[in-house]
Amino acid sequence: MNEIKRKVIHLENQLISAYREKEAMTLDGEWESAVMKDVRRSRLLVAVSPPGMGLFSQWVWRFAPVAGALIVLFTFLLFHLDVISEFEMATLLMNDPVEFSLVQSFLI
Amino acid sequence: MQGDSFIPGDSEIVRQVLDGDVDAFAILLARHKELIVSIVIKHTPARYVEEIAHDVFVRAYQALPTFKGKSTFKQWLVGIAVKTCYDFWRKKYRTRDFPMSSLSEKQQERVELIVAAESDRLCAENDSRKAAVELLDWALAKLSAEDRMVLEMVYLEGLSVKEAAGLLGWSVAKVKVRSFRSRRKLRTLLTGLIDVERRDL
Repeated sequence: MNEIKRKVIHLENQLISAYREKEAMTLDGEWESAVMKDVRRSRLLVAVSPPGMGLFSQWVWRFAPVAGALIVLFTFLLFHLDVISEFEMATLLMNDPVEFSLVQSFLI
Repeated sequence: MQGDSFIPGDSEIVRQVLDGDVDAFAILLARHKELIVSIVIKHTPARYVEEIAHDVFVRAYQALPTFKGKSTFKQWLVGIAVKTCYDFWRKKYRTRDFPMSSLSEKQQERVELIVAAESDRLCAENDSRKAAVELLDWALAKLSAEDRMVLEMVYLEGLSVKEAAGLLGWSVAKVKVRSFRSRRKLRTLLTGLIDVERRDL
């Protein structure tokens, strides 16, 4: 068993050595020209976002907690205040609210 | 004429490029291409190096507005190179667009050749060096893209866990876990090979 372990460690060291001694490679001027050609083509992607946009996103995020708090507050109010349902509205308008729908109230 | 000998730093050139002088990017390209090629060649097959290095510089150019100068341009560029290599492997593994090499009988013989070498350093002969590279490619192809990158950076290249985490944009804990697991997988693969060799004897 120790023999296998020793061989594995030896093999690992050989692989590390092979990895570190990988042959170097040089790229010529033609390659550089090709890269620069693509770089010039992708010019528009470099464009920085319009000046107003940065400020806008900054403010949007600044108001996010306030908006969240308002949502919670309105949800709370919605559950604790009387909301006039469609049925209750119908009872105000007519004697027999059964089969009444909001759409009908506009048609009458 | 002191002004003539002034060599602008990377940050200065980045500023020029962002101000609209796209051609100034050629200076950065010439300055760092060797470094990038040396990184790419370690992580990807030789036949893809030109294409990936090309991609690294185009990506770097496109991402220049995000360079805030918190690290040096060189470090920032190296990070992009590593991520590009990682993306290359993720894409290849996803599309299975590379040969999942299996060790041929001849290569199996080469394992014996490598194991038989006396010293830990590779023999000068091209044969054993080539055999070791082939074996390494075979073993790495058995790992996932994540395991492969971590194993190469931490174990084969000798980077610290923190350095690898910084370059890959991962947490230190993730790199630690991945490097431990990938090394164990590599060891299992190599043990399997040695076992086969022993049984054949």
